Amino acid sequence: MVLEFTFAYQPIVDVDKRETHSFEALVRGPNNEPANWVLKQHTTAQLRTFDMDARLRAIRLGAQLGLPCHINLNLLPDTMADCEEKSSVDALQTMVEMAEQCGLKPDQLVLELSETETIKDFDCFVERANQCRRLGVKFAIDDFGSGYSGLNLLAEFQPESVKLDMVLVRDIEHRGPRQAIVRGVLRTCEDLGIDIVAEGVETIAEYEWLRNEGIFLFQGYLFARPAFEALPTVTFP
Amino acid sequence: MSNLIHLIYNSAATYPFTEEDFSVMLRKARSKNASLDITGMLLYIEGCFFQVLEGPENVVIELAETVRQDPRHTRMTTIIQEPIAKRAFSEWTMGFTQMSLINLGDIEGLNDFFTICKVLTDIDSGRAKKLLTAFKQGRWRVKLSVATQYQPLATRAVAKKRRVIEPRPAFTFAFQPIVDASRRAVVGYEALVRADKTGTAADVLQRIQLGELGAFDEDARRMAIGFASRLGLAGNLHLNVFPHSWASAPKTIDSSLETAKRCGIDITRIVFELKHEATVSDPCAVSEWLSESRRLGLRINIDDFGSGYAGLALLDHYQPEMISLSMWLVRSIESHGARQAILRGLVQTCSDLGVDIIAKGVETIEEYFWLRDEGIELFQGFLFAKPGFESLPPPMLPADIM
Repeated sequence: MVLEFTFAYQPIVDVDKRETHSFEALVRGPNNEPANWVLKQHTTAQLRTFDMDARLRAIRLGAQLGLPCHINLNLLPDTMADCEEKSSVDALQTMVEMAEQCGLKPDQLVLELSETETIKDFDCFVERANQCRRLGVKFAIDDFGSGYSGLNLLAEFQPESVKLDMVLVRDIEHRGPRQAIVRGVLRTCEDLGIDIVAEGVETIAEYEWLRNEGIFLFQGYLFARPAFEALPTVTFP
Repeated sequence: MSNLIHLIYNSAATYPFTEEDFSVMLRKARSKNASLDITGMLLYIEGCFFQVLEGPENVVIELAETVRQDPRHTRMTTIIQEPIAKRAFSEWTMGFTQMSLINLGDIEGLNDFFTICKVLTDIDSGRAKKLLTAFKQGRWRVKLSVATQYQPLATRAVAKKRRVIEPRPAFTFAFQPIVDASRRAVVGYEALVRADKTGTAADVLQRIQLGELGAFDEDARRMAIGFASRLGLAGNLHLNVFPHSWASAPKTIDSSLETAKRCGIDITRIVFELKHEATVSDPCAVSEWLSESRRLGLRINIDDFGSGYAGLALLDHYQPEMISLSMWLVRSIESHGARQAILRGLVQTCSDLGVDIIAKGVETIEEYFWLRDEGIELFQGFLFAKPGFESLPPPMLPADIM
């Protein structure tokens, strides 16, 4: 069964430069059904193939839409970190080649790692990731700071950026403990030269607090909602 | 027993306060607070308020709501709201000090808050004091805003009926010291369950059936308390708690308290150690349990912090008195930049929240020096002392090692 799915794109903005830094490709059903709707139609065994296929399609559609900047693509680390599985290397190689055919440079690609707790073999994962990095591909850790901490991953592997989980972003302007956590994450990331992207920013108050702490990359409804098969324009606060 | 809590907040003054503004405000506050049974203190520095309110839960919350509406300040942020066992400012209907950055360092008398530390030594070493120290260091000034909604805790899980105690494998304890490097003193001992002199905790735990774990856990703690008391333990006693105990939590706390009382160990000397990972499965039950323990005066250490699935978000839900660093973070930290950066971030977060950090599993002098330089004061590990079988081994202190 070939399931129909497509993408919506949501910008990540650089408020210092007042420009769009990247577009995150978010999987959608053919009638803009949410990501979960699409994922639910796959068995766990199918997810891997789906994961690889989805990136290729997201790149192709992004290129057709005239993507001018980075593109953030979700990646199940498991797809990459199975050293028994030679196809995982090939899949990433294929992805880079296809991006080039579409007129994108490898350094426009940002792979977002979610569910990093499922990485079974750290060493293997890091080795594969570094192979991609040598081609120019960048990495981001998604949903950082909530649920699974990812601290031990961060100790072994420093991505170009981490995306601060929206749970920590929500109402941060009046939540003391959240502020303390975010300051700590900032300190760590500053020390490691990792950019922080604040995800799910919805209010001007959240934005201002985070901006004041030195964060300059933002994603969220405040700037733009995901646009179905389109690259939306950004509202800067 | 009334439900005592403290609520610590900061806010920004909407206009520069004069001496007269303060005397008006304080006169009103003091008489109101006395009638409401509220104690606490208020600091004002360069347009920023920092206040500790303590008293019965409903009264504090109601008062905080009123305070929030006060037009004389804005951007009020609740830093901490949690149950406390006793008041830190019981004599104060509202202590107050105003200061500038310059005289922050050398204030006398009532205002000797930060240096001679009359006030700081008068209050116990709880959260209020730590946050005051963080405030002194420049944290939590002005930047914060509006009101925190507090989250009601889930209703306590119903305590299970006490089960019949089956005979369990014999076990005993080893004790390993935790040292305060800055004071060069032993602050306490952690009780580690052992089957015999050469074994490990795993030897004991492996033999326990899953269904027996709760009862074992409770008995082990009581036994450890008795042991420590007989050995003449002077400082804190760190006791491990298995996550299994949540459902019967209040019961096990009570039985530990009872034993401690009988053995002459003050409840405030007991620190419950909870594995960070164990907090993941049922955050509501854990949160409730922690609140209950804290209300009784017990302290909580979240052990193995930063490991596995357990996240930073724990500190968003509740703030323990202390955390212990995961071993992987400590190991060879002197030469591992990423671990250092992670540690600096944790130090930042914990100092903002008034959470102490214990570096456990410290094995080399290099690890020790690096951590010490970053301001870590509490240590445990082979470098200081191995666990002593049925004894309280005196640790080597850093200068002895050098």
